[in-house]
Amino acid sequence: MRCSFPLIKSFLVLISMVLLSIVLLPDCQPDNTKKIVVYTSVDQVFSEPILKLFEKETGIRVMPVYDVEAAKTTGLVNRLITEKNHPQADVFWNGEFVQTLLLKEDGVLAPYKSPNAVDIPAKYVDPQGYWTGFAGRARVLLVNTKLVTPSDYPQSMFDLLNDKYPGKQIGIAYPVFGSTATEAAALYAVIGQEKARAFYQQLNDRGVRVVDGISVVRNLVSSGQIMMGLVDTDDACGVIKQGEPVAMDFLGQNDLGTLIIPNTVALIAGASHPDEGKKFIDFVLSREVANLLVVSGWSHIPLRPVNASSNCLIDPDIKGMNVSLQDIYQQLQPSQKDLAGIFLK
Amino acid sequence: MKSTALTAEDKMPFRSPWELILQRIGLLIFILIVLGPLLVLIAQVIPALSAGHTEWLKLMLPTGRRLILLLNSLWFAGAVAVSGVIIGVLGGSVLWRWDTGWRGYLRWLIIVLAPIPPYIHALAWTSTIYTVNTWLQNIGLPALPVQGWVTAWWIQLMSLAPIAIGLALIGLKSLEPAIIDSARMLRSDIAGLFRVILPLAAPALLAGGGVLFLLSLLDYSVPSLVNLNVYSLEIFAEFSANNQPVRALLLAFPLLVIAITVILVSLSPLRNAAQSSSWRVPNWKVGPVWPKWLVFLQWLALIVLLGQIVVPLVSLTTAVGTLSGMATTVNLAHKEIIFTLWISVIVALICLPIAYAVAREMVYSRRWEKLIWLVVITPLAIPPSLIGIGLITIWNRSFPIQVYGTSLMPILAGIARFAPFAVMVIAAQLRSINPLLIDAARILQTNRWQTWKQIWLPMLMPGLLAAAGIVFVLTTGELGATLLVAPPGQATLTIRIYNFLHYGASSVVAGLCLMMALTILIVGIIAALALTGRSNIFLKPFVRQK
Repeated sequence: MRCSFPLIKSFLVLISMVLLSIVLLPDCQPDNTKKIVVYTSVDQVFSEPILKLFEKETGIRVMPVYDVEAAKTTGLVNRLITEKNHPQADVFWNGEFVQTLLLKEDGVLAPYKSPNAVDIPAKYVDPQGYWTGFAGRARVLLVNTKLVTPSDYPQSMFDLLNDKYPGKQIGIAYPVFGSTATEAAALYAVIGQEKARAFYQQLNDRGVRVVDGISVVRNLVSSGQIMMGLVDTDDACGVIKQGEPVAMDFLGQNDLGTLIIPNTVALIAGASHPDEGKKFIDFVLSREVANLLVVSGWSHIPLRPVNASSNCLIDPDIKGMNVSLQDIYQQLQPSQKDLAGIFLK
Repeated sequence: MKSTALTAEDKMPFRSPWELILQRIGLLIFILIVLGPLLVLIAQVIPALSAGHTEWLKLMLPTGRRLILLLNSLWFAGAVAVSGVIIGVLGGSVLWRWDTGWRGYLRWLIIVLAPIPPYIHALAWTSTIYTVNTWLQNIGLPALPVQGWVTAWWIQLMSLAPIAIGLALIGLKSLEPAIIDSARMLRSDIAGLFRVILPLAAPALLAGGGVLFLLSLLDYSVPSLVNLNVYSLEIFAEFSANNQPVRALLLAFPLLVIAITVILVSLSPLRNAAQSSSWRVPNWKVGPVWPKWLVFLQWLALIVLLGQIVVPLVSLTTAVGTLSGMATTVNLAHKEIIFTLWISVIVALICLPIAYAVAREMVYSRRWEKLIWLVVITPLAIPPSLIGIGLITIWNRSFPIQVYGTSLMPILAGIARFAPFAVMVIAAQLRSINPLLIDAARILQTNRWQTWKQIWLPMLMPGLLAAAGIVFVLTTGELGATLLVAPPGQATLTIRIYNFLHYGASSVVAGLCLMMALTILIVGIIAALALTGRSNIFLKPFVRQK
């Protein structure tokens, strides 16, 4: 066996390859381009095109961190809290609002009032400018049209307690996670803790299908395994687009109204690129982005007039719940504690 | 009669003091990187409990919803393991005899598909089920489930079938041909199969079942994609929701205990894998005569295996559409593709010297062999998300050199997860090296480097190449730990695919999956060639003919 492959040479080659590879990693390269780190809990399929457009229009490179569904919308929020003393992110673009309010309370955010937010209703903008809401979604009852006729659609949340609709035919996600928890907190804020707790207790007593995640509810309804379930408009629009036999039913049009969940965007305190961060916030609050988010199917209630058309655009005059985002936030912890006792026993 | 078998002591090569020091340093680095994340989390438990969080201890004993989740996860992993072993034995008992010609290569082709990430199978099979359901509905039959337990079980089984077959083959090929011949002289082939062959191969089959069980128990990617909640996902969700590493560790405790028990019971036989001298000798000089029912089941298993290969390829190729569409897809994800390949190459390169040092320490250390083996295989019981959480706990602080938030984090995650596999492969290679060759070389050598470069390294090369290949392909598909530690702006291809997969099959995802599968296939073939002793292909450029 004749072979020329000395030990020293082989180890030197190996070490050189490792070092060269590490040196050539993107982090180790000198980079003079302007950049910005954006943490976003908005699904990548919707947020990535917006980030790319921002890069194209401004020349500022966006370094995103996306959340994943399994993190129950809180993964990035906790990362932001952990990194509070040496922040990595410049901007947080959240698909909902509760966790953003939590970040404000924890001192993670910095104030910035964007000029592009002037026509957004005051209800969706933090008075001190720590966050701005835009591009709303709504909570909706998804109904299987093969199993329920339009005349039999429930009209109110409280109709879900009606014997007309068997408990096992109604689906909800665990109301201690995600937007189902937000909806519960909103109900606590609007009708009071006692009544809201009683409502969820009765739902549980009726044996409603409580499952892990809104996407499970969506699939159960669209496959006809249950009659109806509470989901978000983006989930509902997804299955409507696929041609499944389902329809959206906006509960509470004659009583409490429908919960509207805006996206929120905020500047991070101590951000490394605050100017670029402000530019990004101005950009996502522009009408151009509002239109794009409607067209892409992420937002269905743009909170202000838009020119975009979508097969799932919802009547802008839909009656929203008469409750402030701050009041909902205040009820989140008490409602989660209550509902964990009811549903996670 | 005096035994002629070589003991560990006989096999022990001469080791100079500096070689010993380097080995120990390698072992220390292995422990720090691979076991470090778990050790750091364990170290935080007592301070957390002293701070008054004693109620967190309740997480160690799951009740209510979490108990049901744990039982469901065990049931899921158990079902995948049992069905995987059955398919492995049935398929393996046919492939076992495919020793020569094109069939000899074909059986290895099945095994090189093993590292294709489960989510690619998930995409392929869910797309196929949708198509089949359309046909079923047209003829008035009920649709197959697209989501849920049965779908998750089938996809997981399909993604792990190559591993099941591979480990069954190792068990069957390790049997001495003389034993099989002896059994056949006295009883029928089927009696020999049940009373001699399977009992002798049982340790390897048990190890195969253990591996399938562990992979199914710790991985949440397939269940989460088909809406089946499992306990490993709960750990990730718990950390995401509360940001308390200790809570995540305590929640993972039942899973760790179960996984370590399974490892100790089932994986120990792998310690001596590939030591058999019969590995390259045909076990059957005259083909066996099986009863018809067994032949039927064997072919059924082979058809399932064929489906495991054909369905992903056809489904993904169909979904990709045109070549220009594929080019657009690749272009959109070029950053993730480059980053993934880069990370995987670095992880493979770093794992080699560390794994070589640990493997030498394990194979040639008389006193500590079992302990080092335990250190090597225990990390396989750590849920990937726990490794990610541990890494965050270690590195998310101010250091002179910034590691947190950089590309070094996914590199550390890759090493922590896959260095044990490299150790096992290199250790198996070290055990197969005949020490008499080394002794002979020492007599004639002009210096020790000559023995190293001309004898030792060429014999070791198949193991090194196979280890590098295995670590590379596993790192490309890593999700659980990387998801938590990926730096801003630098996602891997797997994360991108996983994020997009939640919106169902699309040409974009199919294109990415197809590209990932092809990359893994190429590297897998290279690793398989190395494993089957054909590494001289790669050595040729370095060999100087005199």
